[in-house]
Amino acid sequence: MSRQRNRKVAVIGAGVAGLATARTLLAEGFDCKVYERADRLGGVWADGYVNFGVQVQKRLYEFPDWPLSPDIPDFTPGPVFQNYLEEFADEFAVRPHIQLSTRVTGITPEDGGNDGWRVTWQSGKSAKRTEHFDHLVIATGLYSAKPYIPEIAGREKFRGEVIHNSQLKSRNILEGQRIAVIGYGKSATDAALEASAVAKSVHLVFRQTHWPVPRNLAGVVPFKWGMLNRLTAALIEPHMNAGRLARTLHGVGKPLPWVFWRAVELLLIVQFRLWTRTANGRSLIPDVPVEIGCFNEATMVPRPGLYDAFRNGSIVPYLADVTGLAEHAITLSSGDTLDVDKIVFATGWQNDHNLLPAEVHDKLGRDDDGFYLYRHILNPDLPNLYFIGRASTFLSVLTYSLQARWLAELLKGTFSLPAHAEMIDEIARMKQWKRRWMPFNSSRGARVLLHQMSYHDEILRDFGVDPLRKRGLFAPVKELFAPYQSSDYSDIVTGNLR
Amino acid sequence: MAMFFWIGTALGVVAGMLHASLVFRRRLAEGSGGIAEAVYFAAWTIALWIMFGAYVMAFWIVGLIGMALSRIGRRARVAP
Ligand SMILES: Cc1cc2nc3c(=O)[nH]c(=O)nc-3n(C[C@H](O)[C@H](O)[C@H](O)COP(=O)(O)OP(=O)(O)OC[C@H]3O[C@@H](n4cnc5c(N)ncnc54)[C@H](O)[C@@H]3O)c2cc1C
Repeated sequence: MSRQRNRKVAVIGAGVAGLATARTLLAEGFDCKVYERADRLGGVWADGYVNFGVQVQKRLYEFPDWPLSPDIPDFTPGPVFQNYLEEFADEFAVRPHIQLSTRVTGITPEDGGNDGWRVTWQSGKSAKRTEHFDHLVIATGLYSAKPYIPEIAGREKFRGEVIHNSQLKSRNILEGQRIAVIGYGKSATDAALEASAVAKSVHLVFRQTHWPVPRNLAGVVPFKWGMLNRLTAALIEPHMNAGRLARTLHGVGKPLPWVFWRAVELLLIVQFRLWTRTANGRSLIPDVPVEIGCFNEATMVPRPGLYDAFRNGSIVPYLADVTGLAEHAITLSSGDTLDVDKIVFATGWQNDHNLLPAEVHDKLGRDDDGFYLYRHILNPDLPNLYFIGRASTFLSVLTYSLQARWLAELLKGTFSLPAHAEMIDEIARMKQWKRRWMPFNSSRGARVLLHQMSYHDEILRDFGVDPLRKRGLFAPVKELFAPYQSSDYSDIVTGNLR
Repeated sequence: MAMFFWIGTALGVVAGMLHASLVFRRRLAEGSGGIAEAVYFAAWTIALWIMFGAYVMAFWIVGLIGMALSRIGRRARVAP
């Protein structure tokens, strides 16, 4: 089946990934239909918790050729980003192709996927319908709509209220109460800060510390200058396809990355005053070295004021497990008992692959750390099925836009995939590589984070584009020291492949 | 001090040449600017290594000592 002649594509999900895909494929003349189960496009940005917003500076989290307006704050608030996505859908005429309030309930390969895919969907309460597509793109995000709340002994005895952070739409519901927030990721610390403004007391309970990333290094330099340039990229654990230079740097040159990361740790410890102790006397300094810890999914850029709140007591941190609940209290593995009226679980979302039939799931694998894909996009045993958005980076809008361009070029025939065995081998090597050093979690297969530079380079090389994007007389120096951001790829996402 | 600086710079020249040859080949294969661009990138690579060679050597030595000390520290903590 020639990819070029078959142009009917279904996209499931109208979040950032689905929108980037639809926009790119539509511009290339594909007949594209987007199914979205919610009544608004935008995915996670359509409906967030109180005062949610983008973690990174706005020039890092925007479509490469469609910058956010200059009057928008540097850390884009969630509702503002949602507006931007709505405008994007209008500007690039994606909206007429989106079917809102339409849940895809099943997908079925035809002739193993070689003849395309059948998509079954349901709008509201109407009867289910099925349609055939040549290609299918799954852009349903890394997490489901099902909050994850761990099982805790004594839950039935607790007389207070238990909520997930996604239900926290206004801080008023916390007013005057004794609150415990469980978790230490971005949403947990945001919830604790919201609570600290109105609640009677706030406890933040977490079982693992991790390195926070400051908005500005030493309070002055935006973190992108320290973390998103090629020099830093060379100093992290070498990519599985790293060249001779990177291997030398991490072999005989090892003391250089070592001293760099210890300096980074020192800077973070001093900047956040991480020597502060938790209420149960534990250190806030993580055990894992920062160059490994920053590949933990919970890596966060905290809102200013979080660590001050720890110190002035408006948020009381505990490094412990929650071991049980009583009528109006939670008990911790440290032996502490905290009196609380409400518990906010900021413990993430359940993985949900219900959409995938068993035969697809079997081919993707059922490993605890999620499934692994070639280029984070496809499995060679599932032809004409693509995943856009299964690569978590700090610059997802850019990453997903580049993935969408990669897909468009593949479907147009600009490049071909390598042999089946080669792709299988690449997936196996990626598994081995990540499992050797990357911290475990259920979506490790999709985790890219600080390896985003290598990943973007790889994608660009596939369709024959020079991965070095800096221009001008000082381009070689900029390549080394200047941060990479969305605008560096503006011509590529529009299909101008130079 | 001056001796250290000159040794670092000399090592920088050697590392720079090796690095530049890799950069040159890669630019020639991937860049759109042809041989001129490849030479330009290679020249910058050598220049940066010469400029910073002594500092790189200093950091390397500090790192080596730090790594050794942390390994000894870790071993002492593990030992009964
Ligand atoms: C507060 C917050 C801050 C963040 N900050 C950053 C940041 O600074 N940098 C960064 O890179 N990332 C950040 N993220 C991560 C963010 O999730 C991603 O950047 C990105 O928005 C994910 O987009 P997506 O399209 O892949 O998934 P989603 O936004 O989850 O969209 C998936 C869509 O698929 C739909 N869907 C799912 N199943 C079906 C079905 N069966 N049928 C039909 N539709 C379906 C869903 O309804 C949803 O609309 C942040 C997230 C949050 C919540």
